[in-house]
Amino acid sequence: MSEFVDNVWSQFAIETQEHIEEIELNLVAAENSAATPELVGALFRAFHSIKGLANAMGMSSFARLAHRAEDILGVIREGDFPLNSDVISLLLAALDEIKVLRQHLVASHANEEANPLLMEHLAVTFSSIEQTATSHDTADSIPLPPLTELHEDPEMLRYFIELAREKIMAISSALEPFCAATSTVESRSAAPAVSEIDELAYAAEMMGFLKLVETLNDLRRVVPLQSQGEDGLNSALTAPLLELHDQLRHIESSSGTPDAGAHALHAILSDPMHVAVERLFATVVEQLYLLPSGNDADNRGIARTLHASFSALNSHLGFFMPRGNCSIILMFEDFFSRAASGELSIAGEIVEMTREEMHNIRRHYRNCITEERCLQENSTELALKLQSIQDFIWAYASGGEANNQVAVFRQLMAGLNIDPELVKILSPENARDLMKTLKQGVHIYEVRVHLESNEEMAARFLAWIETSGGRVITNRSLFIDGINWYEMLMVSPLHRKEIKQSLALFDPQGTSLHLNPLAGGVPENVAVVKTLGAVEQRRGAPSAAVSGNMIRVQEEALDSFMNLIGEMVLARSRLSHIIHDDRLNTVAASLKNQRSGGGPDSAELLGLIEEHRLELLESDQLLQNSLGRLQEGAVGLRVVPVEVVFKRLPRAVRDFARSQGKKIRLEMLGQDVKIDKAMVENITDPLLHMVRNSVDHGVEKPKVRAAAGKPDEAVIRVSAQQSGNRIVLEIYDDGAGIDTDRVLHKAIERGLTDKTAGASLSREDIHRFIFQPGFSTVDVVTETSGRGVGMDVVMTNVMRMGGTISVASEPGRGAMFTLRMPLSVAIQEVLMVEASGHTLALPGRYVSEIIEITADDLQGDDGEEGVLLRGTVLPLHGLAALLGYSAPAVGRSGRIAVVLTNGSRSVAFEVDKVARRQELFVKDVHESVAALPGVAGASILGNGRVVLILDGEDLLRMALSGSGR
Amino acid sequence: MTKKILVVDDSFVMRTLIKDIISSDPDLQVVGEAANGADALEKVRLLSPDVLLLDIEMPGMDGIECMKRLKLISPCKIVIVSSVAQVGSPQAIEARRLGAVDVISKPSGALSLDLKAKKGSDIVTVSRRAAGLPE
Repeated sequence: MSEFVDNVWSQFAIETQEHIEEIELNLVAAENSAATPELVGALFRAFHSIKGLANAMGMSSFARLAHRAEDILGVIREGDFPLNSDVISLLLAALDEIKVLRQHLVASHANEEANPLLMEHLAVTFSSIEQTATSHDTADSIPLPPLTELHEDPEMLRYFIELAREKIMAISSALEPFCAATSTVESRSAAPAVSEIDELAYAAEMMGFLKLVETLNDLRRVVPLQSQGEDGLNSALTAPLLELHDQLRHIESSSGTPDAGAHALHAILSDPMHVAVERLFATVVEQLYLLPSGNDADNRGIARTLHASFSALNSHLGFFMPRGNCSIILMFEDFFSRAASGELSIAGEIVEMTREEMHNIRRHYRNCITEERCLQENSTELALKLQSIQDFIWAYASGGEANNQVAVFRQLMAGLNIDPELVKILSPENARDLMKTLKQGVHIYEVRVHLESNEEMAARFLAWIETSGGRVITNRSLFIDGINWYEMLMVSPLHRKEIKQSLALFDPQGTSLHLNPLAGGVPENVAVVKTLGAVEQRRGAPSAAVSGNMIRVQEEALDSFMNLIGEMVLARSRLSHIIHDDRLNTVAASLKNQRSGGGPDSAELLGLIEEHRLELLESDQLLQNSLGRLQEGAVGLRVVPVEVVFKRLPRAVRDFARSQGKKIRLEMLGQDVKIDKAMVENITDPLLHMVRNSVDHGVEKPKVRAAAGKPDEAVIRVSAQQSGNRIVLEIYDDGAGIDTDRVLHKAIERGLTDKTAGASLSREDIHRFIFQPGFSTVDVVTETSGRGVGMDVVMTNVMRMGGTISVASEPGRGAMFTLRMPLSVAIQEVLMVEASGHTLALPGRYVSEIIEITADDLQGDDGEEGVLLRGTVLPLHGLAALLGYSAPAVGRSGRIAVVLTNGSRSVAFEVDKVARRQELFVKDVHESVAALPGVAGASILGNGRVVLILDGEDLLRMALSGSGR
Repeated sequence: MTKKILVVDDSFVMRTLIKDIISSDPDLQVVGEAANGADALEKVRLLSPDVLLLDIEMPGMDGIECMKRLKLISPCKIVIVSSVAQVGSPQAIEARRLGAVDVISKPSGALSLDLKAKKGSDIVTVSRRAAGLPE
């Protein structure tokens, strides 16, 4: 098939594997401790992703399997059913089937059916779970979202606010120099603010905040800034900034956000604002002194000025106040506006009162500034003060009637049940209006109209109010459940019933008009309109751990890269060999000798040669350094965190523990220690096996543990550590430990030792017997282990990788297995030997010792030779002969042999010469070479010659199979 | 002038398939890809694509949140490619409400030469429409 398709299939394999591993870890974790919503969500998404991948590849049955699991998790994710251990077990079973199917699919690229029984089981479970879920669902209680008057989507609002905060900060810092009271700055430097303003305006437009857009556009227009004004203030700039600040503050208070950017603006505007406020206070005080003049027209003119000043002062002070305006000044603003239009008259008493209040306010303001307190109105005092001012005004501004009116009005307000928000926006004029009409015996209603659903209907309704003798006193708009309502306070001579009938004509469904009759009645018919489909509020995982730039590389590519580096290393060592070659020195020496006889030419030549030689030496050194680093780096590419190996353990421990009724806690430490990828496969099974052993033989059943005074729950701890260029893995359990006596007993039974020898063995020696082939102290073969092929295979694997394994145990306390392995298999330590003229490399790990063979040590029988070593007879074989080389006759004296051992068996291999220990970079060899008995790999020496690296295990086997032991 | 497409999906396989499908149309060019919402926002700022092909179920920031943030910063057109947001589902409605041009399902079916012809054409047609090209 095409390369593209193959690539996609490899990706499919990788991605599905990742999801599978994640699911397994999560399911086992969920079983051990309660499943959090995040975990359930992650499980759901992982199965969902597997389904998606399966669908993309056309593997429909695989997709269906994942889908069933996803459905079950879907119900659990809604909170309608718990992730209990039965469900977890079922999902694990589904996961196992997924693993199997995946393997088949990846191999065959063809669809395959999943186990029908499992599918059935999943379907049945899903239906029953779903049943319980819907039965809970009766009340249909969707909590109402809070009323936000700003925007119906709280999430978008939040994002907008985040964006705004960011942009405003940038704008503020760009514009700060221009707001300072005294400075002259070049207009150009405000340019960075422009793009920020534009971006914020775009976002505001998207949100429908048209007023904000307008303000930002105003600001934008001003930004190519002119020089400062006389007083150093740039009022063209501060006006839109103030407006912006106000609007942001409004957004903050409406949405309950502490900062939408207003703070940043506040900081740059403070100074200019202080100056402005003082100026306004001065103006007000000044103007008040002119009142009352004898002339009405003059009074009105002054009132006009005062109105403007109060208005400005209000907004300026509002800048410093949390609630954005000063209610007292608002009252004065209102009063002087009416006074300017002639509606109210300005009595001297009012002027006095105003002056006094203004002094108070100014003093309060100045105190707050010096003490750096926030300017606030004292709320308890305020209410009283406002009332007294209002009463005062009404009393003096419109004649004596006012007093009575105030009392009546207040009584009325108290008696009604009007929405306080509506009351707030009732101006005194509205109030007077209301009272007037109420006197005529009308009814008050609160009506909510949904304008958007049927604009035409809404318009007709509003028209009808007028024609039916009713009137809208005041109104506002608000959001409920994402729907825009228009609420009004209406008076009408009609009774509630009559109005309702009329409403029914306009709105038969009753969805667009809601009536709330006041005057003491309980509001009825406030229906809840449901949102179309709830968008799930996913407070998901903390926002994106950056995925960290990653690239996927084919293993083959990495391997050939490593090979290239290996070749470079070898090439360099050849070069080095040449440079260090003695022959050059010999030539130089003989030239020197000739010099005494020869002419000046020889001296020159000598000099040249010497120079050259030094340069070469230097280059060689440099090259060596670079290559060393390169090699390290390359090895580094191949390493993966040992977590990859540990990943399988939680599930395994869970399954084993369950099947034997044991309680186990698995701890994994040092997961980020690195090992060579090539080792991962070889290590995983041994590790799994040892953990299995711990569960089966080490960990006792809970009752037994309790009797021994141990906690119910056993601990198995798997840890990895790096020690130099070795990695150390430890598998520890706090179980019963190795039963030394039983081991000894079995060992004697199997003829590995006898009673007398056994008595003198140390505990460690006895424990080592468990690594012997066929060894097992368990009489009943359990499902998981006990067949006795375990530990010796583990040891073989470990040694093959160049590692060692040992065990420490205390009866009743527990056991710990320790594996020590080289970080990388690609580099191996060997012992160089010569046999029959061939140079061979023996794997360092297997080499136990080098011995001299004397005639006395030889033991021969039936053509098989043995050599006596410390009381034991070791088989003796000629290495060359074993490998099939023709062995030239060697003298019977001065013979040497290398003893190879795998921990349980030892053989002495005779060689002609033992050279040295060194490290070799193992290169891949052709299949036919690797298939040769006894060959593990090959390498190239510094002198360019190829050397075979022998396989210790193979050699031992070959040697021993002939001897029948 | 080729139209610029940004592919956003947390699955490498899916991105590869979608890119392959898009590549069959000479008027469309995939200028970048992203594996999650945050990355997508970055790439949008950098590349100013004409059309975004957006998945919904992604770790970290999901498609809907991404759309909402996107609305505030870019006028690019969004096409939802998702196996979750089927017609009538809450997510599909939400996506449309937020202004997605269309909501289509992920490519599916066996990898074959006429994949593009059979199942993939949906992606191409809708992308073209979103980019303002004649279909």
